[in-house]
Amino acid sequence: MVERDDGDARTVTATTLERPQARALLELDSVSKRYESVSETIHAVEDVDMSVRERELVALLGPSGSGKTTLLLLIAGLLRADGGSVRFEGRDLASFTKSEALAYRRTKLGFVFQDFNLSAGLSAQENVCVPLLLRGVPHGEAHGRARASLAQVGLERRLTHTPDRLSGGEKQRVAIARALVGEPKLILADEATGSLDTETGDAVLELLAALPREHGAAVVLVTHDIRATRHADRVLQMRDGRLSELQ
Amino acid sequence: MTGYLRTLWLFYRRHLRVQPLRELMALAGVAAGVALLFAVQVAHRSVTGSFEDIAHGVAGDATLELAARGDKGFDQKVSEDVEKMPGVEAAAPLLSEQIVALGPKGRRELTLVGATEQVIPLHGALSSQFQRASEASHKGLLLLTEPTARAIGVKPGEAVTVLVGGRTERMTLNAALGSDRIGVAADSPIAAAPLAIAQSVAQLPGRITRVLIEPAPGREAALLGALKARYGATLDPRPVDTELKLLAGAAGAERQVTLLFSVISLVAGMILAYNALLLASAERRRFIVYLIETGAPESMVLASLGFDALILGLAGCALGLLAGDLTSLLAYGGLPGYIAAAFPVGPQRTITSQTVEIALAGGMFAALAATILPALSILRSGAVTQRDGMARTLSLTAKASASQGTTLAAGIALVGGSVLAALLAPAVTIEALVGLAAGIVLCLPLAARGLIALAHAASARSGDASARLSVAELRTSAPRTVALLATGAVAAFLMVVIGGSVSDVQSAVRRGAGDLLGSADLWVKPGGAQNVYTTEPFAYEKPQARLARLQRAGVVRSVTPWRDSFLDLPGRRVWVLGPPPALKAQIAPSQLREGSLALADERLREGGWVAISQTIAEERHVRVGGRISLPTPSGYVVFRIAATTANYGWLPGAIVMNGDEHARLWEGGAAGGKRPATSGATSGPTPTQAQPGGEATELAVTLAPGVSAQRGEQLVRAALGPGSGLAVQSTSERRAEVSAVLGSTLSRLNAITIVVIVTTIASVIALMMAAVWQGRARLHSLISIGMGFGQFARLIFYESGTVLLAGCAIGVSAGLVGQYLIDGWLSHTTGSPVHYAAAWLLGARTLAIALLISLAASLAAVVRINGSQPRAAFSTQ
Repeated sequence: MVERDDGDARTVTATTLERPQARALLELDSVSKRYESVSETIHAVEDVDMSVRERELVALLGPSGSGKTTLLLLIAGLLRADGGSVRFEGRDLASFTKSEALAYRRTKLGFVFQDFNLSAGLSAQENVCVPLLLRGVPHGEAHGRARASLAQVGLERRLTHTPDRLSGGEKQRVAIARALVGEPKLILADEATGSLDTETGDAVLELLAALPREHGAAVVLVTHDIRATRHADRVLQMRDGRLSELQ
Repeated sequence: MTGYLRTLWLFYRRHLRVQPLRELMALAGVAAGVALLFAVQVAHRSVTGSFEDIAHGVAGDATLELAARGDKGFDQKVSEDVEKMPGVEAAAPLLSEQIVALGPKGRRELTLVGATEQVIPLHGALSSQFQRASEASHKGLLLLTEPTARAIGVKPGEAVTVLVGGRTERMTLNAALGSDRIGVAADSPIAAAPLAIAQSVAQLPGRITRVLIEPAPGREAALLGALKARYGATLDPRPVDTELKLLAGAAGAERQVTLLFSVISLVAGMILAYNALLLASAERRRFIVYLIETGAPESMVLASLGFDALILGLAGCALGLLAGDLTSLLAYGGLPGYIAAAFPVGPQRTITSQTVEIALAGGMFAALAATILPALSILRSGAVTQRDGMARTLSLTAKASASQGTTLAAGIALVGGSVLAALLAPAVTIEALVGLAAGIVLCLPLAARGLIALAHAASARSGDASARLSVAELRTSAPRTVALLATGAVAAFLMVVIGGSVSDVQSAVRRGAGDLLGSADLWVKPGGAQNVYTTEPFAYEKPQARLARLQRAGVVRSVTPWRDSFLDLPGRRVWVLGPPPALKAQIAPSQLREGSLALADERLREGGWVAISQTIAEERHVRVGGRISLPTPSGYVVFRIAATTANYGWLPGAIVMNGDEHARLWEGGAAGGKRPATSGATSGPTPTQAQPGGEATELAVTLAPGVSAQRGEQLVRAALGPGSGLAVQSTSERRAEVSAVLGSTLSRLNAITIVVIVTTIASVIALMMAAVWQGRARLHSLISIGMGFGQFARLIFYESGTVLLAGCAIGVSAGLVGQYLIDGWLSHTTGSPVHYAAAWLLGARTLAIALLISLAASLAAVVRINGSQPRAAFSTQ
């Protein structure tokens, strides 16, 4: 094991991050991603090792431009790594065909975005239906599951409301219901509290924290919000493309 | 002040950075409107402008003229008599004759002007220069302009073949005058020769067609009166600019058509620009909020909007003028053929400051309206209260607001009122069409609501997630939905209105030509396409004798002479048709407006009767059975009216009279010119048979049964010989020539539809790209949660296709109504028998084009989104 003292954080190897007692759902092994422009090369993600176990909530902190979003895109299979491997349930994402990559995002992942990204033209129930409809689930079944999902986040009375009639917290709960409705193994929450006030943000964090326990989904919570660390099983920090675990 | 302007410029640069596509699209809209307005104005102004150059260049200081009514002119001695009249400062005789100049490289139809040194004191730049060049060479031969000499491939000293009056003459080119000597008139279809040479070429010895007169100061009116008293029976004493007014009258209908389509083009450009700016209303609202929050006074907000309009207007006008110049060169080049047949108009373009000013004013108005209107709606909607900047959603459940209801009611009232006004009073069709377009635009926001409700109902039954999401996207971006709808509607409206009515006019022309030319298999006439109205006379004895051999050989069944001419009535130059009396159908059935066709034909064959265009009858307040006095070369003759007709494709109007009667009056006028001009009104002329040795303007040849038109054409051409100077055409060739020349004015307007299509394609693609870019966060989120490439492409296609197709369907429907109204207006204005044939095919083609545009826009958008990382859905913190 190699350890390096880095202020309040330690750079750790994969061995350190893995907990042998739980099965690894997601594994990143020496993953790198760089962007090249005419004048410079930016190492957005550099030699990152990371793993997420089933039902684990991992908080990922880091300043703007540290590479958090690139890391999320790599995990989602929306970007391909320049080096290293990203494995989900033991299978390297680089080996996925296009349709397998699509099926991976549809069935294994759920997304929660900072700006909710709800369609203003759809009701809460219809918004939650979208991931199911995209994968061809029949209309009736999709609506039934959406209703149940909204009930799980406490919005059973807001089924027909369009986003412009919902508060910020309610919108984010709809987004969480949308992420849950496909029964994913991993939920990627990107600054889920970034657009909310403190009180609402707390409520949303509690909701997200309950997901591993109540729905069996692991959560990677990318955030600035230090309050998220209270709910996290582990806290990782990204800085200049490198990942470290906070003590 | 400079600092203030810098601030406004800073704001504008911000808009450019934030919404470059929107600015580009708005620019394209304004530029398209300006380009079309400029191009059609230039096209129209050039017709009269080129003629003005010639008229002033020839007449110089002369303000009066004595003009012949017939092509045989009058005695040259009249000029000497005029010169001696009291009040005459100077007078100069002129002879004008239509010729075709042939050289090794080609042929040109020209007006040959013969003059003497007497034109020099009149100081006409053109005639003086021609005269001086002629005198300087001492050869006394033909003078051409440099462009003409170059076009036919001859140089000074070389031979030029001249076709004139059905004969071939050989002349030597004396000199070619360039623009350095005669200015823009160098582009005019004009040739010159000393009067004696011109008389010899025209075989009119001692004859002239005009006397140019410069009155002594203050004596003009008295002199005109004296000229009328002395020569008024058989000649036309008149102000020298009368010809210009006749041309303006002949081009009047075209001017109105031009005006109509200019206005429509400008409105279309304005709507396109408006749409572009409407697109960014949410972003603009945020900016206004920002300005107000940072303490900017309202005057600053308004100044910023005004500055946007100014920049957009200036840039749009500059781009539009360039594009318009190009359009006028490429699409509107050449002449309106039907006018060139009666006036020596050149191909040169005339761009006046007024033309540029009108285009600039139109462009600035469009830019101002397009910028200010959406901004006003933003300000009215309470910019400060909508701080989140979210676009308002078109709710399916919410009821239409009172103001929306009022707008819809106003739109429907405007549409209904405009249609009704145009039906009741065709003269106000231009205004009615603008009202119709404006009314439709007013109805569009609520039409968009209806459309989305329909699409929602349809998508609810669909298992395709893309269909449902596309409806959601439409509801999310109300301004874009309305903008797309309006773009499609305006483009389709323009295409159907213009294409449909042009097609109807062309059909009318073809029908008329078919009627007129269906009585023979072959046609023999001098000159080229410019002699489309066959008004150039030739001695037909010799050609007829040659064709008689073919008659004996059983190839030709009959050869009959037609005698047509132009005749100047007050304010209009009319076309006089003289079909042979042997012809049963004297009047083309498609042209009849009032009267019994059979009875009118019989009366025309009898003589003493004429059929006149409805427009002339209305102007003279006469009806069928009434009387009309016509100023023939033989004097004023009173005819009875057998029928009223359409205009036979000559917009100022036509008169049909017995061909023999026409020959007698016109050729009698040739002799009559020599007689003292004292004949008064003559009543009931007696018809005469065409005399051997007479003149015709066209020979109608009927082939014997079994002889094909192609074979007959070859034999007739061989029989006439190469030096006849006559062209032989089959009926189908002649019909094609007539259709091409007569239909050319309106068919050029089809170029507008090309500009509209190009602008629409650019606008829609820009709209879609802008829309996709604005909504990229939501679209990226959809891709992230599992939307496939095909689903994404369908989403964009449904979104753009539904709205664009719906807009086009609205536009096509309105366009069909507009086409009906324009047909009525064209019929009323031009006197052409235009029949409405709904342009369904064109409408279907328009919808197909819209479909293709949607596909292209979707593809472009999908490629753009898929080509980038789907980062927009994720936070940037």
